[in-house]
Formats: sequence, structure tokens, C-alpha cells
Amino acid sequence: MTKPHRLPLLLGQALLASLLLMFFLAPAALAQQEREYEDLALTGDGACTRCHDELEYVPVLSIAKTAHGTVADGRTPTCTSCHGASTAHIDNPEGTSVRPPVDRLFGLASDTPVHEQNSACLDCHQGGERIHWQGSAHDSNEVACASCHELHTQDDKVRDRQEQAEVCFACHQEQRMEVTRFSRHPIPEGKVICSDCHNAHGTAGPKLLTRDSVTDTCYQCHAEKRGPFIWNHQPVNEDCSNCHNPHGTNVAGMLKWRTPFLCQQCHEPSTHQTNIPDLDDTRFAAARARSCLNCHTNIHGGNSPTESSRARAFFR
Amino acid sequence: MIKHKQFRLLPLTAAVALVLAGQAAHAEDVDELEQLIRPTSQAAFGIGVVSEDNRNFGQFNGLAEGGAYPLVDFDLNRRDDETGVWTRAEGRDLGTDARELRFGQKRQGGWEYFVEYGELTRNHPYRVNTTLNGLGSNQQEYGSGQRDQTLRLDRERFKIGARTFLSPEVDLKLTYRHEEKSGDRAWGAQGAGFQANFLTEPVDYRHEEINAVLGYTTEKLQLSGGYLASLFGNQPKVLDNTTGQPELSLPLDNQSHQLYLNGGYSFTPTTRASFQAAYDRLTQDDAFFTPSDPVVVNENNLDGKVINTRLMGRLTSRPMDRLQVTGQLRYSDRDDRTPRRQFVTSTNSRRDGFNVPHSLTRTTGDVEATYSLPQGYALTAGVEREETERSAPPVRSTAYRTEVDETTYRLAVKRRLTERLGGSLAYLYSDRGGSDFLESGNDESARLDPINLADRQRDKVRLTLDWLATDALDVQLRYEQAWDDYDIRLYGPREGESRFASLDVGYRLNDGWQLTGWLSQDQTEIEQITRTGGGDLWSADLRHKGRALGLGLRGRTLMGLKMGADVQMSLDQSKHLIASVAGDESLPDIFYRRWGLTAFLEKPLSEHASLRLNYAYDRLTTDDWTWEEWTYNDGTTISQDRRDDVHFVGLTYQYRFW
Repeated sequence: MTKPHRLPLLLGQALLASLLLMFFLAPAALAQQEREYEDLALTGDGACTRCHDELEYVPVLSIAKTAHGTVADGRTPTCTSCHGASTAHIDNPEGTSVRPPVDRLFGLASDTPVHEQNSACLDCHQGGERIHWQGSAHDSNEVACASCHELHTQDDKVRDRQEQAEVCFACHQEQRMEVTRFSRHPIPEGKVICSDCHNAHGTAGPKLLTRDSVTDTCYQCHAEKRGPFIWNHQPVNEDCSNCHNPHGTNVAGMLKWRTPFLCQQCHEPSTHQTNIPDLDDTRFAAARARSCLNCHTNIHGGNSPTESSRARAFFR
Repeated sequence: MIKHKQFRLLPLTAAVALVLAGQAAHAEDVDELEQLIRPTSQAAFGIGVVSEDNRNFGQFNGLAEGGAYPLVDFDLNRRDDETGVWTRAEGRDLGTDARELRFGQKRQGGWEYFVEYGELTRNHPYRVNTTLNGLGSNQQEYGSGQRDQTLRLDRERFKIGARTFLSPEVDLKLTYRHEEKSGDRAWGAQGAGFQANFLTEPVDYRHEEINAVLGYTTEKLQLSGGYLASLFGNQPKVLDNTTGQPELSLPLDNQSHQLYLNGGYSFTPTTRASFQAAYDRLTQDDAFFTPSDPVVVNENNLDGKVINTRLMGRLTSRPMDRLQVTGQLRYSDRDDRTPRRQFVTSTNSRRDGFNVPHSLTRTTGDVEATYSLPQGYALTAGVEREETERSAPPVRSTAYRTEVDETTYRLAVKRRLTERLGGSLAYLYSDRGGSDFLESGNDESARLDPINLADRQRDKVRLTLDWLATDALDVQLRYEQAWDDYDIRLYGPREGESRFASLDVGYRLNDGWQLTGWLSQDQTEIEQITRTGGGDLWSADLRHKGRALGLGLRGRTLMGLKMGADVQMSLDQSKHLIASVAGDESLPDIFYRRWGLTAFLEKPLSEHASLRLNYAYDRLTTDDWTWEEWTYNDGTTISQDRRDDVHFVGLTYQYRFW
């Protein structure tokens, strides 16, 4: 029998199936649209597309496949909105051995200062998730929007869940190594991607995290760790990365170091806490299995209300 | 035989098939220009075969079992050029337990809605052999017959959202996400004679998230404010074991309700301020389970309440063409208002039996200036100060610091990538200290400074180099090294070091072929010192070293075949060196070696169609001793394959239309 709390999931599946059928099976909706292109794609692109067709060194037409090519949207830019009037480039005055570049050139080899390149994008895209761009880590390090985004193609890699990581790893090579380790998030599979946790366009919180703190970002998927618990574990409340490396490690649970060494970085000698790890021990010096966590099993916090000191120490 | 369970989403699968049939039937030949400017749609159908059951390759991608799988993916895009309305349907991995499906429509600058559905299975990478019955439920007991069990966690997610522009400046966005997570996770508990018993943590979570955002955007002022609710629910509250194991508490329902406002104002084209204010109320008042042990607190729930307040202000300016200055102040306060009650009456010098509310206030200030020099050089200097103040339990089992502060200075010289060469060299120095330690209830001779609170000086250098050697060859070099020096009173971490180096090369052989390669190495080391409860001094020197390389090839043959291949190899080694009064008590080293190959070959059949062959090979070898020779008190054993090899071959028919 279907559990009541699964109802939203079942309704969602039914809704999704209905929408797919409704919008794609109506033959009339698929009739080829008649239109004439005075310019090839964008309003006023003739001056550019007379040279820049898809066979030219700098092909441009594919931008028409994107949101920027949706001419019915009055806000859609033209070529010159982003690249400037570029009259010298278009006219190519006599006496110049090399055609002058456009006024605003994007990409690695551009002489246009990065903040000027980015202002072309921010003129329209400053709101929403880009409010905090200025002063963010990427802005301070002069990362151009065009370093990550490809505007003249329908498939902008960084916006594709399967391909985004490849774009980020071009600069973040350490994370490229870490995501292949034994214990990791499903990042190579594209099921958890960089932008699920980080907003590359700038945030109010640390590390460009999508939420205001490390813990809040992790709670997006691990809300059971949020508590508060009867028995809180202080480093857990403060920052998950005290113990975990979310990009991946070779220790189960993405722990930074194996237990008990990890636990012994904080816990003092008293009874058994700082015993020397021993492969043959199965109790207080166990190095195998889950080590300390064999007994201290509710390490993220426990909710046992019993009159038992074991509950206090995350046994229960 | 194709796995029947892959079709448990029969309605969706049927809808997808109908959609694709409808699209293909109406795909028309379009002229060359239309192909270049009209959004492309594509779909792929085929079959894939996994050579054998595996624990790593298929951990998340739904291909953990050997056998055949249907391969179905599509990405359908349609734009009505008259109205600007986009319709998009996307399906990925539909033939596996990692399927994703999305449908959405939008009129740019007008309205938008979408519906998403996704599944994700995580297969436990170990083999479990146990007598435990009732896995996945909260009634578990040990039986008599040992048998293999497969542990897995399944996530099922549904998300719906809509956005409308109320005016050119104002938009309203609403999203609702519902996620179910179920299955079982390897767990355990202390059993008789302080020996560990194996149990599984039953997972039956429900998480809902509601977000309503109102945005206001003009040329100078942008605001984005809203309400975010996160509601977590768990079905079982306690794990019972009928063979004498004490009950284990499971997560209780909790809720978070947040109001937030983000804003930015551009005073001039070169001066901008942005801010954030957020208020978050967390509650946890779900009823406790009724334990079989005595209870001394009369309340049936924690009445947990935490108020989070966050404020941030940032100002960036370019007062002169060559100078950029950024200043930022961030304030974060976690006020834990959960009442303190004594749950446990037996006390000692390390615990008073009260629950432990935890409050924390953190203030961070940061100033940075970058000055541009001739020839593309720039000089950056910055300083960041972070002050943390936290509540402390009156009685403690570890040393504690209520105040910790850290100041970081950084200096960098950068050169923009001009005339084919760019890069940067940066140096960072940080100094962490704080208030006097509040001692634990342990003996004075046991003083250990926790790693996240200890005094620490950190030096870090970072070098980057980008070189466009020729139009066809580009090279990137990264190098980082950091040294941590802990100033501890008696025991704790002493020194740490990390190094990372990476070389990336891209080479365009010709217009049709491209080669990429990279080589990376990282190394992390920490030395920590402590003593046993009996007073014997010992230290651990923990080292991790990883090396990895990747090679990639993409190209198109003269016959029009598209092909590509990626090879990736990595070797990670961990050392656990222990020096004690008894001599060398080091634990054995551990290595993980991974070898992966993916390749594809795509043959065009027509303007619309192509045939694609995919191949993947994945091999993981290790000598990890974590579970070797380990038997739980109840007889359960867990094992990890020393070598995990798997091949995957997939053949798909790809159809593309405009």
C-alpha cells in the first residue's frame, strides 16, 4: 500500500507524464514555423554574419539556438550589445595590416579588461544569484564570465549537469583528483554537481556556498544531521568540514583521516580515548572496522532521553 | 535479460516513448541555415551491458549489477519564434536507477514553470555477511544463519517550480522539492563485553523544501528576498533489537524556516555595495521514543530551538582605473535557545548529565586592494580577521575555547594572460589564537588542544602559470604548499603540511583532433602527539600521497567517424606512522589504485541519425585492511573486494532534429 507521505512523489510523476504527453504529441504544435530572417539570426546581425558564418574562423550563428537568440524577447541583445559598435572592425580601414578587433573581445586572448568583459553580462544579469558577484572570489581573481560560459553554442558546458565539473576542474585541479577517490559524492556521475553546493557567481557566505554556511549547505541533502539534538557534538554543529572532505577521500564517510586518529585530534587521554590504535584489538584500541564509531555510533548527535551516561557519549 | 526493475516507472517510461515517437514523426528536413539557428533536439535509445556485479563503478550510476540495461536519454528543445516560448523536456539515464526527468516551459522575461523527477541509488561498496534480520526496519534481531546482504540507499526526488514577471523589474519565483530517502546504512552498537555488534541504520526520511523568492532588478538596485522552509521527517524514531541491545535513537523530525534579503546597489559604474540579512528559526520538538531504561526528564520532547541571524555587507570600488578595493563584514550568530535539562543524574568531572545547547557567533572582516601595474601585472594585498565566540558546557570532556580569532594576510602578484604568458604568485600567512582554554574534567597531565581550536600559524604559497605556447599548445601549471605550525600546551597536533602540484596540457593536432593531458600530485601530512590513559607518550605521523594522470583524445576521422577516449589513473597511499615508548607501532600502509578508460565511436548514418558505441573499463585495487580479519561480536563480517574490475559496452541509436 502506498505510504501517505509518498503522495507528492506519485502526483509529481503523474503530472510530469501528463505534461510530456500534452505538449509534445499535439501535431499542430510541431508545424514548422514559417518565418523569414531579414538578418540571419539576431536583429541587426547582418553586418557581422556577412562574414561570420559557421565556416568562418569565428562562427557565431549558433547563438541563435540559445536564450540570447530568442528575438521575440525584446531584451535579447544584438551582436553590438555585447561586442560594442566595433566600427573599425567592420570597416577595416585601409592601411591596416590586420583587421582591428571588435571593441569588446571575450576569451583568453582578449585585451579587453576582465571587468569590462563582465560588465557586458552584468548589465542584464546582475540580479538574482549574481547580486554578490562584485568582490566575490572569482571576481577578485579576474575570472571572466566567458572563462566558464560559452555563449555561442546551445550546449553551454557549465550549465550541463554532466559536463559542469569538467569546466570547474580546469582551474580546481585538486578537486578533480579528490572526486575519483573511494569515498565521494556522485560528482563524476553528474548526480551531485559543483553548483549544487557552490554558487560561482558570488554569495554572502563563505567559500561561495549556496547556503549561508557549510552546515546549512550540507543540510540541503542531509537534514537529519541538523538537530538540534539532546547530545550535540560541537564540531558537528560548527562545520562539517572539521571531519569531512566533501570532495572525496579514501576513508569511508569522506573522513579527512582514519579513526581513531581523527578523533584523537581533539579528545584527551582519560580512559581509552588515546589508546594506541591496534589492528588486533576489538574494543578500546580498535583500528579496524569503524574504530571509535563501533560504539560511539550516533556521532552526529543523539536523541536518547534515557538515564544512561552512554547516551551522552553518542552510544545511543 | 534486461533487468525488470528498471521499468518500475512504467507510466513515465511510456510517456517518454510516446514523446519521442511524436517528435521523430514530425521531424522535418530543414535547410542549412535553420539547422544552424534553430534549437537542436536529440534522443538516444540503445542497450548497455555490464560485465559483472561490481561495488565501485556502479556505486551511484545504477549499473552495479552485471547484465543488460536499456539506455534511454533525450533532450528535446522547441522554441516558438513568434512568442519566444521555449519548451524543453530532458531525460537522462532513464534505463537505470539513476534516472532523471525534467519538463519545463518558459517565455523569456514573462513566465516559467518546470517539473523534475529524479532517482539516485547508492550501493554500499562493501559485502556484508550477517545473521541480522529486519535490515531496513527498526526491528532488527540476530538470527542463526549467516548470509550475504546488500545494503543500499535510494533517493527519490520530485521538484516543481514556477516564475512570473509581475513587471519588467519584479519577478516571483516559487519552488517546492520533495525528497524521500530509504534503505539501510551499515551501523553498529556497543554490545556485551564492550564488543561491537553489527546493526543497520534504517533510513526512511522525508525532506521537503519550499522556497518563495521575490526579486526586484533595476540598473542600479537589485533585491532578492524570500522565505525558505526546510522540513525534515523520519518515520522510525528508535532502533530496537530484540536480542538485548539497548535502543538506539534515530533522527527526529526537525524544521527550519528562514527569511532572507539579498541586495546590491551600484552607486556608479565602478562602485557597488551588496548586503544580506537572514533570520532562520530551527526547531526540533518531535516526541522522544519511550525507552525501556529509566528516564528522569518529564518532558517528552527536547523543545529544541535555534535562532540563526546572518548579516553581510560588502563594498567594492575602483576609485581609479588602476585600483580596485573591496571591503566586507560578515556576522553570523547561532543562538541555541534549547532549554537545559538534566537527562542523566550520574555525573563526574567530565559530564553533568545536562543536554548541550551550542551557541556560536562569528564575525569576519576582510579588506583587499588590487593595483594594476604596467605590462599586465597587478599587485594584490589583503587582510582578513575572523573572530569566533562560542558557548561552553559548564563541565567538559575536552578542553574548550570560548573565543578563537584568526588573522590572515595575503600578498599576490599576478600577470594577466597577455602575449601568451600569465600567472600569479601568492603568499598567505595566518595566525590563529584565542582566549585561555577552559580545561576539561580530566587530569591536568592530559591537556590536549583540539585541532580546530589550537593556536596555529599557517604559511602558504601558491604559484600558477598559464602559457599559450603556440596557437595549438597550451600549458597550465599549479603549485601550492602550506605549512601549519601548532603551538600546543602539551598534547595535540604539532605540525601539518600539504602540497599540491598539477600540470595540464592541451594540444590541437589539427582542426579535427585534440589531445589533452594532466598530471597531479597531492600530499598531506600531520603530526600529532598524545599519551595513553596509562601515561605512555606516543605520536602519530599521518601521511597521504596521491598521484593521478589523465589523457584525452577527441577527433573526427576522414570517414566522418567521431571518436574519443579518456584514460585516467590514480594511486593513493596512506601511511600511519606511530612512535611510542615501546618503539615503532605503525599501522600498515594502505593504497588505492584506480584505472579507468572510457571511449566512444560515433558513425553518422544520415543527417539526423548516428550510431554510437560506448565502452568503459574501471578497475579499483586496494589493500585496505579496515574490514580484514574483523568479526563483529554477533558474527557479522564485512569485506571489501581487493580488486574490482568491470567492463561496460553500450550501443545507442542517436537521433537529432531541429
